[in-house]
Amino acid sequence: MKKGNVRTDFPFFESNPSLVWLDSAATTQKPKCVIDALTEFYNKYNSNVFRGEYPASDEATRIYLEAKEKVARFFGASAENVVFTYNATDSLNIAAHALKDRVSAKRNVVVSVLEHNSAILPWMKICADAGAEMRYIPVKTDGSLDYDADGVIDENTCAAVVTAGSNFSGYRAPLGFVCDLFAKKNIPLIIDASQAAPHEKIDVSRLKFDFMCLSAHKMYGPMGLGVLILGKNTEVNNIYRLGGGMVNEVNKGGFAQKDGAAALEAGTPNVAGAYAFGAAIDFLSSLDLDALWDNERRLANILREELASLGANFAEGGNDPLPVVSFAFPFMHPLDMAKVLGTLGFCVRDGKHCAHIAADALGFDSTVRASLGIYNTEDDISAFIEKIKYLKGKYGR
Amino acid sequence: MEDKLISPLAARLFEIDNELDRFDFLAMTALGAPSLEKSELTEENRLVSCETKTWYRLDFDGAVRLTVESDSLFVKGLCVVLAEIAALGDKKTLLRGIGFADECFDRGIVSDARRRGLLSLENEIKKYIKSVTEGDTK
Repeated sequence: MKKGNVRTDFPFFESNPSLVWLDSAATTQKPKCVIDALTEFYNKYNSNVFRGEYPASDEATRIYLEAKEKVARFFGASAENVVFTYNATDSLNIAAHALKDRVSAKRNVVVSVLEHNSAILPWMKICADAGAEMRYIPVKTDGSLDYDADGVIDENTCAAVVTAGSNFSGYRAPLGFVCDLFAKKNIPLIIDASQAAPHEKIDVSRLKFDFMCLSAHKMYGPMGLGVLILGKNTEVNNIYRLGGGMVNEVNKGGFAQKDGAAALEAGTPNVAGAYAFGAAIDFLSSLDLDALWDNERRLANILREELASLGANFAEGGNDPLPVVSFAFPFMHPLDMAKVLGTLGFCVRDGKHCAHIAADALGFDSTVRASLGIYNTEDDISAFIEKIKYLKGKYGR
Repeated sequence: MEDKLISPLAARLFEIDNELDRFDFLAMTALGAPSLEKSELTEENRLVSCETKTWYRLDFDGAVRLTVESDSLFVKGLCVVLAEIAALGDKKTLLRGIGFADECFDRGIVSDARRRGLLSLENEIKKYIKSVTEGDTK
C-alpha cells in the first residue's frame, strides 16, 4: 500500500510546477494511470458495448462491466446496483425523476440548505409542477445541519435529498444517522456524495438509502462520468432517459424496459470514462487512503488556523469538516482575492460555488474556497498563507 | 474589436501584460471612478447574472453615461472601462455590438463567468440606447 506523497503520480504538477491546486472540490487532478487508461481504451478497445457480436465489442463490454465491479467493490455495493451516468448532476436528476410520482399537492420534499444547486433544482421544478412544498433542513450556528428542526420532516414528506458533504462549507454529514432517520420514517432518500466520496470511506452496505450520487472527476477519475448507486430495495420507476440499451422489447404498442439499474443506462455510455474511472479506483485502492485523508484534514486545519489568525470569516462546516475551507476577508472581495491569487499561481474558487441557498444560509454573498486533495502538501498551505499575508499587506490597509 | 470601439482606458488595459499589474490598474480605475448614491444600491438597479453585487445607472446627455458600483474592485474597474467605451461610442456602432466582454475573455482578462456578467451590462446599454432612441428612457 503506497504511503506518503503521491504528487508525482499526477502529471499535471509536472506540467505546471508553479501552480498550487486548491480547487479539488471543483475537480481533482488525474493520476497518470487514468490519463493512460483513456488513451488505452481508444487505442486498444474502442467498440460499442452490449451491441456487437464480434470479439472487440465483447472485450469493451467486459472492461466496462469490470469498471462497474471495481466501483461497486470500492463502495461496498453490488455491481447490479451501480449505474454509470454522465455526471453527478445527471445522477441527481435521474434519482429525482425516479421518485417524482410520489410528489403531489399537500406533500412536501425535504432538502438541506447545504445542497448543491444540482440537488435542489430538479426538486424545485418537480414540486412546482405538482404544487408540493419544498422544505429545507436548516443549519445550526456551527454550520452543521439541524435534522431535528421543527416543521421540516413530517408525515407528508415524500422524498428527501441530503448531502454527505457540503461543497460550500465542507460540512460532513453523519451518514449512518441520516440514513436511519429517513429509513425509520419510510421516506425515500437521495444522498449527494459528490464531495464526501473523495475524502472518506463510504460503505453503502451499511446504509439505508434509495439513491447515492457521485462524480468520477471529483475523485481522480475522468470528466463525463457520474455514478448512481441504487439502494438494496430501490425500485426503478419513471425512467428519466429512454432509448437504446435500456429496453428488452419494443413494438408499436410500447416497450418493455430492462430490469433494475440496467434500465437507467440509455444510449451509448461513456465506456472510456468508465474504464479510466476503474483505473482511478485501482489507484485509490493501492494507497493508504486513511493516512492520506488524515493528512488532508490536518492541512485543512492548519489552513483554517492560519487564516483565522489573519482575520478571515469562515463558512462554518461543523466539527469535522471535509478539507474544504470557505472564507472571506473584510479587506478584499472574494472575487478580487481569487483573481489575484490566480495570477500568483494559486487555483481557488470564488463565489457561491453553485450552492446559492447554502451561501444565504451561511450568511455569505461569496467566499474564496480552498479545497484540498490527496496530493496537497504542507508547502502548498505555507505558500498560500504567505500570499494571503502579502495581499493583506498590499490591499488591507 | 472590429469597429474600434475602444477607449483610452481600454487601450491601457489591453497593453498591460502582467496580470497583477492589470488587477492594480482596474482597482485604481475603480477607486477613481464616481460611485452611485447609497439610495441607488437597490435590487432594481442590480446587474442580473453578475455573481458579485453590482449596481448600475444609465443616463443620456448626448452620450451614454454609465455609473457603476460593485463590491468587487475588479468588476467595477472593468465596468468603468466599459462606461468609457459606451460614452465615446456613437449609438449606431454601440448597437451593432460593443464587444468589450468578448475581447476581455479572448485576452484572458476575464473568466467566462465574468464575461457573461459584462455581456449582460453591454446588453443593458444597448437596450437603454434603443429606449432613448425611441424617446423612452425607462
